[in-house]
Amino acid sequence: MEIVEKIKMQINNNPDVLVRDFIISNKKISLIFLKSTIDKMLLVQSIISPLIDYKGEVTLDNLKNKVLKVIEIEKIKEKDFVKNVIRNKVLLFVEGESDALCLDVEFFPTRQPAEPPTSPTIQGPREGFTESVKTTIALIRKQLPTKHLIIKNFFVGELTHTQISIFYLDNLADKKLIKDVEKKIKKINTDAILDSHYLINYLSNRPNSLFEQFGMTEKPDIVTAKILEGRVAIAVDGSPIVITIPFMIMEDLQNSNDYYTNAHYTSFIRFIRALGIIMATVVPGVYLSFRLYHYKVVPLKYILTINATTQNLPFTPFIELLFILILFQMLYEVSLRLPRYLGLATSIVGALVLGDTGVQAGLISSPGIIVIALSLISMYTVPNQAPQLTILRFVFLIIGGTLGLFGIVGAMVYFVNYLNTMNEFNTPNLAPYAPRIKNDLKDGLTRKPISKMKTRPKVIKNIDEHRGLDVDK
Amino acid sequence: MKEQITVRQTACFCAISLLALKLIALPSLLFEKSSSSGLVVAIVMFVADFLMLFLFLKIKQKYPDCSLYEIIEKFLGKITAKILYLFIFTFFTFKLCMLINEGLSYMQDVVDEDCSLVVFLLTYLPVITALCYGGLKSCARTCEFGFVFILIGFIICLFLSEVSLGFGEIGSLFVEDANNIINACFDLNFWFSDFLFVAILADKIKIEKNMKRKIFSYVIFITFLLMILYFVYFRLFRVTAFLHKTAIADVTEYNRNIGNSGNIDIVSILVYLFVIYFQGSLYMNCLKICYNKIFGYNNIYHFLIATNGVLIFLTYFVFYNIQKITGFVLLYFKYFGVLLWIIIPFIYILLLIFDKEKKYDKKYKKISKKI
Repeated sequence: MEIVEKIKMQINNNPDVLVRDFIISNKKISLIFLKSTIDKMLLVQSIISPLIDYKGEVTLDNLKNKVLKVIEIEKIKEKDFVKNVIRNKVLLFVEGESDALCLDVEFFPTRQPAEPPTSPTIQGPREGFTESVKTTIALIRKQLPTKHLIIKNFFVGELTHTQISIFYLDNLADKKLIKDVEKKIKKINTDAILDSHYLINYLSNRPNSLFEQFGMTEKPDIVTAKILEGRVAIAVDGSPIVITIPFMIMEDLQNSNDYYTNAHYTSFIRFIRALGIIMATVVPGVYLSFRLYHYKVVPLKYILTINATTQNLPFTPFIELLFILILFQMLYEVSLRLPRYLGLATSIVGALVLGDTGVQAGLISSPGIIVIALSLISMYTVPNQAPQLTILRFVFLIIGGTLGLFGIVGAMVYFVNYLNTMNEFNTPNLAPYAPRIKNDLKDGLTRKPISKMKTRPKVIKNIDEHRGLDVDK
Repeated sequence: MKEQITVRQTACFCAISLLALKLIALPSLLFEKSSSSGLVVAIVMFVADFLMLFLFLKIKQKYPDCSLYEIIEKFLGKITAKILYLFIFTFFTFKLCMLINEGLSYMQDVVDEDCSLVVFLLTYLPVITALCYGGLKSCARTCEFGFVFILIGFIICLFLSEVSLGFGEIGSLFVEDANNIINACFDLNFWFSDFLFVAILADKIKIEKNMKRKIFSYVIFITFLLMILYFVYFRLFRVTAFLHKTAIADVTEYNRNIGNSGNIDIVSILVYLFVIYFQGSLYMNCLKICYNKIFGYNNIYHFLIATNGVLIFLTYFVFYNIQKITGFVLLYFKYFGVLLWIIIPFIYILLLIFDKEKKYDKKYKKISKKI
């Protein structure tokens, strides 16, 4: 068929483009598809077999209504032919008809939903999203079987045509927020969106900001809980990470595990996480400033201990700490990138050989190693903030070494203010503490039992504040 | 969009303002001017400050959308309003200079004796400039966020100091006659009068239910804590009090190693450093508003360059140490108090009594009812 050859030419006659012709009731039928992205078994069972068995009049309408056993089937015009073939559809042509049938028997290799490595739980659900947006939709649908759940699809990227799906509850989410999100997605003009992180750059008003402005998770239970608070969730095909909007920094101190354990324990652990953020960021800087400038405020016994271990070092305290920090950061990168068995070997070399031998050789001091190690370990109390905390640790170390404690306090004030200037989607980043929202403190640094959280967070504009509502009403 | 701050944020600003210039040099000055009666001077000035704050809040209720400038402009004309704001601009500039000098003196005495004015300015000015550049709203949120830590730190300092001393007598408070006490109040009014910013920011404060009660609860609590600090300070140092120029640090340092807590002066250091950053940013925001009203345009870059220039000039070339600026303020700024303590309150009282225009009041009540 001429049109089939034309389509083949238009998609550059790639080796995975397959054309299959049949003669049924003296009429020629042609199928064109990409053999790499279809379910061959389904193709045979639901399209080829019924066609071969069919003895009646061959028209597109007859085939669509009486013969083909495909769920998604649509009649399309010539202008959409190429677009649908490259979007992994099977096109069916009948001799003498200008239109075609577009059939969905798409198949990609995907993995099964499994526990995400970024957020393991002890007592909660272990399902996680996969790279397929269809799985994401299915998992959210499973958790939210309500008519109010709205799913909207967008296709973005001139070359990738990536599917972006947004989810919200129409009886809860703020209309302005939805409009803003849709407007931003529609405005994206790029070749490719390969992952959720690509999308974030287009959604943000301050893409260059140091701090995160969007919630990101791999867990359906977290996404569902956030949608139920009136937030909007965004899934990108090809990424297991679902974005939630609006976002507050407090969310990174929360963990899905928190809601499956005792409220008192959760509150305690959240304090530990907050302390972890402070320690991860300022401890090396504070230690350095104490050693260099403010030894008067350190108790005498500590000064003597530190002095005993550092007096013969060849480097200044600043260079020493900077050296240890860079060394640890390199070891961290190596252990991430290398295969697991090699990573283990480098960890041993780094920790034992470099660390221990360095101290024994008198090149670095044990307090320096302890301080940096403490700071690095503390960072993983809030793993989502690890990239930011890593940068801030360096910043505070430099400030501590040059401007002392006064500089460190100044930098802390500056960064808190910086967080306060970020009002992505009109939501204060440090809520419920700045501004203080009494109602939302129930799930802030401390958590009340779920039965006491009768209202949704006030900081997120939503249509119905009360959690007791019947969403199907 | 108009930048608005909440009543709680205003209350935090008020509380931080109370702390900023009263933790370091003021207690020794109070003792220097009127020995043990310094506590009486402090009480008198706090009461006067409260009355002033009450007046500002009352006017806020009557004219919810007007700041001091709009009120003066409405009743006394634009020129008078601009002249008044020029005075207030000068007042805040000197307050900021005093804050810088007190901060530097504290740093050198307690934290780092090698800290130079240049390093201090290089650290301090960029931060308060950034806070001003970020806008009043984010600055207020930052203060609100930090206030909890300041409060907890301050309470820890006082609690440990008081526990170590035990509750004892301070002796007679009225060792000076009334005339001397009034003179001391007159001389030291610069270290008080902290709530003037409420009149400047009045149009930016959101109207909420129980506004006065909320703000006063913060203010009274902080004043109570300050009075405890002064009480401890006076009892601790007695006749040598005037020698201890860094009150909060001296009080906590003197009482180190209480209950195995080790050095607690680090707590007081952190409290004070946070306070001066927040207070500096509040002054910068007030200066920005005054600048806009005086010159009638809103170019933030011009303002920041000009203000930083003036501050560097004043602190580096004119008032390069705490003694210089304290001497100048004691000599001349007491007369400025006349404007602040007499003229502005007088105008406000007249407005409250004689301006029968009730529409603002009704609007306030309407909004309050809704809330």
